[in-house]
Amino acid sequence: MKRLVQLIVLLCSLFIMTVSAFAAESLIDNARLLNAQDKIAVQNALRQVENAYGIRAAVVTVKDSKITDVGKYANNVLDRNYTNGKNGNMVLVVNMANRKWYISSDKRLGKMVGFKQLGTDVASELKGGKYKNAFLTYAKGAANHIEYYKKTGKAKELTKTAARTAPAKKEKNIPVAAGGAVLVGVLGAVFYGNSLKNSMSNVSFAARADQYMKPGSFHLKEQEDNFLYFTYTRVKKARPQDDDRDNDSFDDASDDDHDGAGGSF
Amino acid sequence: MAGTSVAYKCLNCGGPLTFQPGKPTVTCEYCDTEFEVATLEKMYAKQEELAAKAQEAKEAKWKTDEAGTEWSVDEAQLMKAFTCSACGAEIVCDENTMATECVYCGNPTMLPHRFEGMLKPDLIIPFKKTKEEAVAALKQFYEGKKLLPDAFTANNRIEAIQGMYVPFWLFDSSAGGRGVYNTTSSLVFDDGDEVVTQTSHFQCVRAGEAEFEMIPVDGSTKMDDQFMESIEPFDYSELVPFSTAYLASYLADKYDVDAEASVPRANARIDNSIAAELEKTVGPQYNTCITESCDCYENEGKVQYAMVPVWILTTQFEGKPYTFMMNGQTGKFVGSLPIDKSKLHKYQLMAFALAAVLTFAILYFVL
Repeated sequence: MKRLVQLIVLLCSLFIMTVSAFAAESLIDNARLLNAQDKIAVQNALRQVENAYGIRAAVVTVKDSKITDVGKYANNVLDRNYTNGKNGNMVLVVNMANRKWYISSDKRLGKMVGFKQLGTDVASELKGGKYKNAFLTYAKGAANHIEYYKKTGKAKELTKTAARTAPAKKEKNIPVAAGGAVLVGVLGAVFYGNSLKNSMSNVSFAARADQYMKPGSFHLKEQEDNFLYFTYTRVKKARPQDDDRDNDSFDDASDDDHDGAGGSF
Repeated sequence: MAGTSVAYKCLNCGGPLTFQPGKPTVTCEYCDTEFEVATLEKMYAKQEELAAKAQEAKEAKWKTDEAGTEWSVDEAQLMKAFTCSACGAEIVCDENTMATECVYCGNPTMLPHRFEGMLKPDLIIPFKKTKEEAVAALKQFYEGKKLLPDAFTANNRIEAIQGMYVPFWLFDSSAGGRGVYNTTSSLVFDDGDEVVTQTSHFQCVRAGEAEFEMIPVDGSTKMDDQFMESIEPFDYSELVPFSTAYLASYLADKYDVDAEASVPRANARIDNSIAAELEKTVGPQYNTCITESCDCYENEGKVQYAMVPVWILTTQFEGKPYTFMMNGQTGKFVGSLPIDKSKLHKYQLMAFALAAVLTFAILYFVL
């Protein structure tokens, strides 16, 4: 009888744990960034990824100024609510109080997802205030990264954006380069012409009589420095900007159990 | 009748005497006999006196004919004839010439009458640089001048460079000034979300004095002030008491701008130096310094009249005069050369092409 009770308790515990794990919604919008329609769209996208790859891919938004380290907070959220993914778990936490974001994952998904690349794509949407797009990008991006990992055996590196934009940029800069070249050319011609002209004459008035001043004869008879007033100029500090292509600008709260990347928007 | 000019001749062989740059004596070019300056001065003093009187007599006669001659009064004042004591030829020169060379026999000639009624120079810096050195310096000055017209060097009479003593006033003065300066110093600090710059404004007052020695101002209207100031400085340690013996074989002018008229130029230079010295004392603790006012004054000082050596060449090119001068003591060479505009445009085009191509290449790959 005692054994039966123990078995029932164990089964109940397992059931409760399983239910509680599955009960955590993939989208928790505490910061109220999405309307009802958008919520459904994001939930569907997340569910689709989760079902396709046997993972948990969640989004949690908060507005809490007490959360100073959003990376650690995201790790805790992951450990507390999203642990039941068969192939791994990840969560995107967005704190609107300080406009910080962080994607935390366990080590299994950490191998498959390039968080800096995924975070860069998500952050660019967050910066524009397109929260629905950001979360859809997160969901689709997670799927793409897992596919990429399956094909190549490694996570996507942070090169995609730069590689995609490089050719267009070069074409765009030809007029700039040509304009700069003409400007520098004209300045060079004027400067060189003037220096050549100046070299043709070394005649000039002597403005001063310094060389005829008796050495040591100059002496001060009066010396006063009178303070008049203060003036102040105040300049707002520039908000730290994320450079999407600069790996050093990412926040990192990785530890033995977690991978991830974060930043500001 | 005594001649109106005096030629310094060798007491040994009768050859013309020439002052050789860098030597303390006057040397005969023919027999190499050397004479002390003081000895010659004593020897020819009487002769110079007689020559001056003879010229006075000649001028007195010449003046009586003034109304009947074809020359105007002004022209007559400017163009005066002297008799060369060596060959008897008439030397024509302007009213300020004190020493020259006979164009017929090449004899160095003094015009002592010209010294009269004017101050005698107190000091003189003898020539140290020779004509050969002056010609070499001029040639070197042409070198590497990319815009120099090809025809210029071919046509100018480089050998016509002449040594000349130029009259200078040397001003000694003590001077002072008082300057008022508006200065600021800044302190930058963080204040939460802002960077604050606190600027402290001060008014600084400085007054001081200094002494100046021998500021040179040329006393000749013929000599361009800008050129004269460009060949400075002279080494005053080589100043010696004036003697006409040093003028032998060189041109020499007497002053036609008196010391009083030269004072403003000396004062302007003194004022600028005083102002600069005062501003220097305001100190590096201030970030900015703007002069609100600076008033300078000069105390009356000593003025000396000196002759300084200059090698000078003026040549014509395409109807414009171009002058070159060398400090006859230190060798400092100054001048203005004509510019070949077609060469200028060619070099500017090359500079444009080079700068543009390099810039385009850099921008194309960097941007």
